[in-house]
Amino acid sequence: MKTGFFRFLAGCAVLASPLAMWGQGRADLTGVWSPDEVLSIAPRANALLINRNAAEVKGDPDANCTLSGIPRIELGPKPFKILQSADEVVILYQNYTAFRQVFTDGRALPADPQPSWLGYSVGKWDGDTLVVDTVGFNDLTWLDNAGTPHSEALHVTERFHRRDKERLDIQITIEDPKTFSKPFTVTEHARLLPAGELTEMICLENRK
Amino acid sequence: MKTAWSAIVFLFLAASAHAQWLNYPTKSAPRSKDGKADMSAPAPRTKDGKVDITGIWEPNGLKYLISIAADLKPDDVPFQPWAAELYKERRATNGRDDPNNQCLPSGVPEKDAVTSPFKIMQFPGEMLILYESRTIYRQIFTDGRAMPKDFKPSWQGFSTGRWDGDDFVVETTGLNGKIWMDTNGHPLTEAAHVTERFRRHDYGHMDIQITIDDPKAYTKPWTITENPHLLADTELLESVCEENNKDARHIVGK
Repeated sequence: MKTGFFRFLAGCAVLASPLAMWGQGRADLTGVWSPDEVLSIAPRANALLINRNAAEVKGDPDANCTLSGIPRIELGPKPFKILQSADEVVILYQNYTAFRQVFTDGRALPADPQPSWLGYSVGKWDGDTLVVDTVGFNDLTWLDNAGTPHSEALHVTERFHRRDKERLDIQITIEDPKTFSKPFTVTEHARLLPAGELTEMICLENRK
Repeated sequence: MKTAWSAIVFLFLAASAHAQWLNYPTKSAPRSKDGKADMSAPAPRTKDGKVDITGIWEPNGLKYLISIAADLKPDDVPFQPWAAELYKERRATNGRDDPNNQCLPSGVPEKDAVTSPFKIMQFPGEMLILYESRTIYRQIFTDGRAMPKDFKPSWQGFSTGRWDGDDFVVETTGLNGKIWMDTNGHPLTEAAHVTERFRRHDYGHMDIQITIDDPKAYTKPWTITENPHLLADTELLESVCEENNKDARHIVGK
């Protein structure tokens, strides 16, 4: 928590931390991962909420079959798959059959991004941990199933760490000064589905 | 109909102006003297000597999205009688029932013709296609796996790929029978077996030869060829159909 807080104090300091060993190690995060449980971030978020109306959302935005945002789309229960190339990490979500590109080729985050559902993501290796910074969100999504809101100022940092062959931890830090009094961190745990594969999931076909 | 398509293309271009990383240079692109990507440079190859088909590609215009049979004479599409009737009805009703109007996905092989960019990426064991349209992905397995016994028929089906010389050959079955292959409404049933041959000629150009083998809808297999081009120095945008679907309530089909 403390680490996350200081990282955010310096804005994008995670990209410049002298303690980091960028590029020293590249863990293999490849695989189909299944979250242990449906993670709610509300218990951490509610105490820090300073603007309940940050997201002017009536009802669950997922009911409209637009696209979940980050991190909700990966909080479970549906699995996701990670693929890695030299220049980017791709996350395939079973939810929405949607993909997310995390560029690891050293490009900077866009300065004035057009707001989007999944935002714009760049990643750096901190030892064997992939650190993903994402900005450029619209304010139409919930952060979790409980309806935790956010504004367009949201900055999500995810630290993907493969604890062992079968376990993936994702430490998710939420910074949104228009919505929360300070950044906070939750940790998601996922397990490898060794013979697993994603199936096509079209929101509109399941809409009730 | 043409006006509607122009509007769609315009909306796409209008959105592009604000987007990010749209002018991000492609590291690996061969360059001509003026610094532009050299589209007629030789096709790149991967370490194992195969043609490298990765990159961001875009269909050349609307032709094959409107009709996958655009290059054939009308009588050359070997419809089964019921499929010919259905096609006629879909044309007569201006494509009113096209699943795309409801933001349902494009199926295989219509995806090859949807006029927005798609990005091909190669990983151990699979070729991956990321489609800007709908922010949807398609996995083409190259690790020799067979279709799972409990595979549920879907819009994109189950695809496997292999190399045949310089062609990357993709075989797809397990399609859900709801697919329109184009906006004109050429049908495809759940019996379909679609073969796509991706053949990159040079840096900037590729053919996709598509063979439709669907004995329920067509009396014999038939083949067409599409020709997407490479987009260098850019990235995909995010595109969410349900965000702005104003089509559905304006559809005027008879």
